[in-house]
Amino acid sequence: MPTVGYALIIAALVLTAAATVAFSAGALRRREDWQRLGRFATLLSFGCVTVAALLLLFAFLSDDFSIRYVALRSRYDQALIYKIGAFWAGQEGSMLLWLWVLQGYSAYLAWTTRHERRPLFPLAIGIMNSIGVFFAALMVFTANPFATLSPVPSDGEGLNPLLADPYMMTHPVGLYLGYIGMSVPYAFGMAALWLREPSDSWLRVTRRWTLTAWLLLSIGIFLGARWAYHVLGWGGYWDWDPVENASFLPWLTAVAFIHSSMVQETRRMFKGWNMALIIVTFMLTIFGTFLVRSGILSSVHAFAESDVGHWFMVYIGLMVAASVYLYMTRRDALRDEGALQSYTSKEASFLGGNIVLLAAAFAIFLGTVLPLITKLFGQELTVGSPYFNRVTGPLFFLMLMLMAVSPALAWGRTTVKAMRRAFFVPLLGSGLFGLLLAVLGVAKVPVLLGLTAALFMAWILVAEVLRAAQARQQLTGEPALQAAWRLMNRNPRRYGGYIVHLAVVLVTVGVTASQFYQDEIVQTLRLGETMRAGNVELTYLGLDTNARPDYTSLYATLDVSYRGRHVTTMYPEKRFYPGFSEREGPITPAALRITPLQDIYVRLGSSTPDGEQAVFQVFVNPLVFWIWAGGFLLVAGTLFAVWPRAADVRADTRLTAEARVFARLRDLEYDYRMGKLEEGEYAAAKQALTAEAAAVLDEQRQAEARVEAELRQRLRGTVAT
Amino acid sequence: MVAVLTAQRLLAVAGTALVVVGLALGLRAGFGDLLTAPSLEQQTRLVAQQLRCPVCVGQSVAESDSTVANEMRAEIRARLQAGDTPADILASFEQRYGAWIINHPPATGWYVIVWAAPFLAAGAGAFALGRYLARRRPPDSAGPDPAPGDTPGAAPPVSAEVEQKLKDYL
Repeated sequence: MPTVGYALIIAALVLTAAATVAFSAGALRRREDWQRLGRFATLLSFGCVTVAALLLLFAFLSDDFSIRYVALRSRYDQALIYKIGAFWAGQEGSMLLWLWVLQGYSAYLAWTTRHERRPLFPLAIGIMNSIGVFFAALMVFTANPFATLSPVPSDGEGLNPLLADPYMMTHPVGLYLGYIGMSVPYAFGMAALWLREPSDSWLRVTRRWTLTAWLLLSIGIFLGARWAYHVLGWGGYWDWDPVENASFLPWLTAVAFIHSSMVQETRRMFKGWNMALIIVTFMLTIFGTFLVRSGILSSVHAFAESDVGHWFMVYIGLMVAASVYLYMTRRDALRDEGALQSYTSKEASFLGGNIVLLAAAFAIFLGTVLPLITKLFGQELTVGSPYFNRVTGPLFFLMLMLMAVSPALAWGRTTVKAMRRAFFVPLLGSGLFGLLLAVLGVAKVPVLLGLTAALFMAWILVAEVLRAAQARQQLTGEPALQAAWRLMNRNPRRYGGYIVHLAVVLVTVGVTASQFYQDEIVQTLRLGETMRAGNVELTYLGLDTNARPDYTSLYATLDVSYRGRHVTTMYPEKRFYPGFSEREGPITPAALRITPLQDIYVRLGSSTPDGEQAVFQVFVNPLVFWIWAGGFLLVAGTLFAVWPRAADVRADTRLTAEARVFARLRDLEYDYRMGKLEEGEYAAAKQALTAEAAAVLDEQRQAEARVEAELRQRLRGTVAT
Repeated sequence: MVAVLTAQRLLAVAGTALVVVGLALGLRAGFGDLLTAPSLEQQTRLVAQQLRCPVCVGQSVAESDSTVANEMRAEIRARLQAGDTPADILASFEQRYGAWIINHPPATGWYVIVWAAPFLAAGAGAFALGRYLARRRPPDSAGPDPAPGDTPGAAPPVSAEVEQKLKDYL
């Protein structure tokens, strides 16, 4: 079986290489037959990788310890879900998962676009296959997941206990699906660049891919934070660890890309900038995989260390060189058509946000690679969370303010009167709120600023939606609720985005509160003694052990009561994993009581053998719940934005030009009705757009007439013969 | 009419005040106990966060479970209790272990670059963007660009077909 698996990966290498060549050459030479060959090779390579992946999965399920990868990560009595999850717990399996997902995406695209005539599609899928070549080569030459062990051990070593956690089983999958999803817009961008395609069709084709990839990346990051929160046991969820940063970096640049691509679509600006952003984003996903898998930086998450590092270095270097070459030689195709009318516009706020996001990404990148850079000059320096917090804090505050004002701004130019009306009450209200907080005893300036900004932002968002619904009501005469619902559904990207912004408000509140008002108590309790933590009392009731299949647990029983009433029981524990705890000590996951206002987070410290006394480390973490709530809201908002609707199918394929010009007319109409635009500017813009719309409709009519005439002619021809 | 407007405005003000006061009082009620001076543990953590754990990978003294980190935390706690300032404590650790032990480079000498670089980059980005936009700005953009033959304020003539279609897209 190992031989078959390895052979399948070699076959995948050959097939992805063949697909790369066939697709690229077929696209550039317009040869249908070569493209067919490429499609065939892509589908077949996906088949090979799928079988290889299933083989590895089967090896885990059947405890085949002759395979080294399995022997190092599984044991006979490992729980079933961890036998499955161990698949991606190491480097080789992760590479296989990468290739599998990537070829899945490629095969899906190759199949669904098989009737597509434009060369953009085959070229883009060819580029995706070229990425597959790298991962297949990595496995063939240095990281073979099917490498064997001899003699065959009687039992495997088992999964690293830190990883044996449901969140850790899902978190890497989310990250990888997101990372790899970013290769789709990247490949289409590069293909458009190669073909000097002046239009922004690559953006429209990949819009949904980008948003979905970003969503999956977000889910992966949230799950990772949740894992760190209860397993690593230092009371927090985010520590600016290199691996956490590596997942956050492409997330930030993708946010920038998502926003600035909207500017390109509506205002025909920033073509080059968008191209650069997607290149950077994709490179950062490869860099992220590299950081996690190379062990080049020390991290609590880097569970697979090896020598694939220089392969990644060379690959990243090559990709950057190729992307920059394409970009520089095709700059003329990236010239902007539009220009910025005014700084008081939606597009200006998007661009400002882009700068801030990139500055934050730059700071995080710098802090992450600082040890690597400084090592070259002698003394190695690292920066920890204080650096990241202090540098990104002001930038994120700036970001919040931009996010707050942006919804109230119109495309083009917003009138001063409209801004005064939109900002005055929210600013006054949130300012008063901040003042009141200060009076009530919140003395920390970052907290005051963060909470005030969050309220300001939420306020404007809600007011803006209400105002737009009101405008719609006036335009259409629909009842209020129907108007609001239809408004959101006609522009799901904008209103889905607003929901995501509300999620950011929740996360901001949660992060600010828990960062600055965490409390920690370390106390020794005798049997029956009680301690106070936050708003609850904890009573120590006893110590016990519990033998589980994969570990022995030493756990304490704590009664939790709120105002004298019993609410729940907590069991902080130490887990002793045989074969692991002798070297690394026991694992002490936290016992958690999560409530919307505060989490009680308890870890078991040292204890006397008779259980007479035990030390407890208790964190009181205010509002952490809001972070997870924000995560759910973010998912909901993004799903709202990407969810396919009947109207999109129409807009995406047949009537693209029409849909675009009418979307701009619609935005203009709303901006005007909501009093954001100067009368004269509205009239001028309306005239220009109406003329454009009329021209588009006219052209459509002509095209339809041409098709009809041709059909008639052919029909007549067949009737005649 | 005037009376209605005032009533509306009053309602808006009252609503605003209610939201603000409600939020603030709610927070106060929920977290009053956390607003007091930070506990000794919390102060210890703030210092420990700035020190690298000498024996672990990628963790600060605040997070590590190792014996060394535990001892270092105990020392920080004891010295805070004795009245030492966090700066004194950090300095003495730096003396003992070297600059390496500090988690974040001090903002002096060459390290200023590390601290300032992100903000400089943001400034440079904003400057470059401003230059680019100014260059691209159409020359007549001083005011609202009047389209030829257009009288500001008058609703432009819109073809019935476009108007009809727009209804579908609103």
